[in-house]
Amino acid sequence: MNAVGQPISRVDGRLKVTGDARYTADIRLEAIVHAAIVYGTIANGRTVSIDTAAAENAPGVLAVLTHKNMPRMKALPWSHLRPQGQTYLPLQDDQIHYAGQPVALVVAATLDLATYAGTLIKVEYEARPPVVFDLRTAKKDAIEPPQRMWPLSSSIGDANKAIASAAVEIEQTYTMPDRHHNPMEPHATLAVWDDNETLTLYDSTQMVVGTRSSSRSCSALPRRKSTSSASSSAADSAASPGPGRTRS
Amino acid sequence: MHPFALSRADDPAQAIAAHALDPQLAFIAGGTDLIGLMKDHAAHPEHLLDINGLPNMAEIDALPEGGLHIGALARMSDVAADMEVRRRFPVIAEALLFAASGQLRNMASIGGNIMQRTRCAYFRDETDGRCNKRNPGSGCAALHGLNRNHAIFGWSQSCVATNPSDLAVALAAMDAIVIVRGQAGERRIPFTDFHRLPGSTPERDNVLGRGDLIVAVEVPANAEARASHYLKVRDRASYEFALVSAAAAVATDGGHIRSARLAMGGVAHKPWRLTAAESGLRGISLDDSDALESAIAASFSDARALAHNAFKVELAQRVVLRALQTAGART
Amino acid sequence: MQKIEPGDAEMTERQKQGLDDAALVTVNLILNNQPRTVTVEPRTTLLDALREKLSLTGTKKACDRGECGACTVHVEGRRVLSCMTLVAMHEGKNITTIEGLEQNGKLHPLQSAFIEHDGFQCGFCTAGQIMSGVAMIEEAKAGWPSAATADPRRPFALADLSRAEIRERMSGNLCRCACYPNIVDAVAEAAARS
Repeated sequence: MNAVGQPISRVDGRLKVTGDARYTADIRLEAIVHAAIVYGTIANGRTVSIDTAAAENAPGVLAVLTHKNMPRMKALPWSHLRPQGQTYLPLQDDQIHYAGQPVALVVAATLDLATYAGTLIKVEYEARPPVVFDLRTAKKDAIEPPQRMWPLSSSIGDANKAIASAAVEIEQTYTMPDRHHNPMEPHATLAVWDDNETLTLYDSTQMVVGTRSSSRSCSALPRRKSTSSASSSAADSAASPGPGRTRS
Repeated sequence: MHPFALSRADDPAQAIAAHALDPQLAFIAGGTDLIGLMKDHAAHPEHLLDINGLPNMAEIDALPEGGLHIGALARMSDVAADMEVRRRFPVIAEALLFAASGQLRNMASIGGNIMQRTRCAYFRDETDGRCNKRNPGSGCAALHGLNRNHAIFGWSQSCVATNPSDLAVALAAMDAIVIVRGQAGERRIPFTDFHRLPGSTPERDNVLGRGDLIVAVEVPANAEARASHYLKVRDRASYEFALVSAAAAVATDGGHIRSARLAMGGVAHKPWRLTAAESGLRGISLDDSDALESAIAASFSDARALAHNAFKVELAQRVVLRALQTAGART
Repeated sequence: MQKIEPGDAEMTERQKQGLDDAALVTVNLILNNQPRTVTVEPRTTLLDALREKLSLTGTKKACDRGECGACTVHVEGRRVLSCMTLVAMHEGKNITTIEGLEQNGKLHPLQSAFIEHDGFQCGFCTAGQIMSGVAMIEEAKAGWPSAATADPRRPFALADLSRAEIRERMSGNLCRCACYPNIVDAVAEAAARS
């Protein structure tokens, strides 16, 4: 590995410093329409009514989706989108599980038109008190989940023995600020139907295979055999530029 | 943002008349506050009037008597970089430099800066709905909510937010004058009268009305300005509103204070002049920390903390002391 | 709702948007030294005009709220946040974007310095960082002080641009990948070479 330790420039360096690196939202096609999510304003409860009439009649609006008309999605046995035990899928029913949960999707000719139309949607809620999670009290009800991809517990060597026989032992608590595993690129997805049967999804993802398998949870999408390409975007910070692209 | 019409004003009289006639019309200069408010759905003007083309409103003039005349359309970065501003009124240059970011300072106008909405995080939060500034009568979520960043002076049951402008604190300390032109002609508003306390009408941040256009800010010469300093304390080292800030200016005689000017930011709905402290500081030596602290404390007897910001009462006094000592070192 | 086929090339811009003629404005810009014209709604930000109408996607939309600096461009040579200004307010102005920095295939010294000093990882903030840095160096050359300047009463020169000064002057550009030390290195080198 004679590259290790050498001050080598990134292969995508020139692309990134000139603005030529393409992220998902940078893709330019002949005619793109834009979707804007409308977020709920309660943390727990349900939507009693969603009045979309004004949004539907707003300039440039092509569609307004809520749980009433959203295509049905089917929870897959396991996917990276659905952590152990979670059954929530977006826009499938009137239940609100968290603050900021999507309650509608507006599709329009521009993002400004879609976003503004979203502000015209009137939602009535029945709120329940927000769930407050305290690990100390919840712990007694915890279950041990089945192992999926990663081992739940593992050990290498004998740490306790090594510490006990060490010449010096230091006990200290270190704190650091929160760090989010989220580069600054807002996630984007571009869905392109080539004809009635072929859908290409461009996505801001580190895991193209995961995006493809998650997309199969939506009943409206075709079920043909798929191919996928393997470039990824800002989510994979060391990778070459270009969005993840999957075709099915 | 919501849809709106946009037009350009060619002369002040036209701009003033348009503003007076149409309550849905807003002036836009740099736009750095207004566009943010519109994106947050906190402002919905149907018509924006671009006033950047108004003539003779961007000058930065050093007046022969020692003061400044700053056009309302002058940009923050140009005022902060001006050598006469820096020499005559360092507190003003520093207040500008400690605000926002380099890009925003290039865009933002002096007039727009002092017109910034007094606000808090709940004002920007569309989900809570209880904000008497956004929706008069809806209540104040911060009063019994997360109020760490909020006021310790002058607040009311209707609103506990603080004015975010650093420049305003320095201008208050300097007794600047806001020159406003309206339908009835030109008037001069003392800076400390420009911003309001919330009272029961927190939706009004300042005393301007329809048809009022800020044309300039004048800063008269004063004995203390040359030895002045702005100190801003916040959670981050840069690019954040103040927790507390202080504008301090002092005239000395052999190390003793002859006169002082003190104003604070981050503590009230408007910049807060510490008039009691200013009186008490006369004659005190800049080396006598105990006496300085005592004099400063006189302006804090009426401080009223909220549930989460009691620390501001002590912090503010220390910030004033340090600002005063730094200013004093500049004589 | 409208029945519009998005692929209909014959449809005019206003028909696609369902808007009256009166609702759109035409704006002439000098963009990277080229005259360009856009027809947009007044509410269109400079950022959206660049990305959506002028196909210049090098400038990035991250926060869209004036808080991160990723959308930094130059207007008349000054760094500004393109998400916080309307394109229609810049009639006739000179706009420079990241795409306009390179001249005849030669990178701007700051672009080269960013590669040399590895001033990026995911690269999303990079265009904004570079545009901000280029303009910032000019501000320092013009003698502008900053909040990091101990005594703004004194003149400021490029030679006074310390690392602390660079950090303060670049504080309007966030980098989640935390490349800050390398960004400062790159800016410091470009400043020294300018």
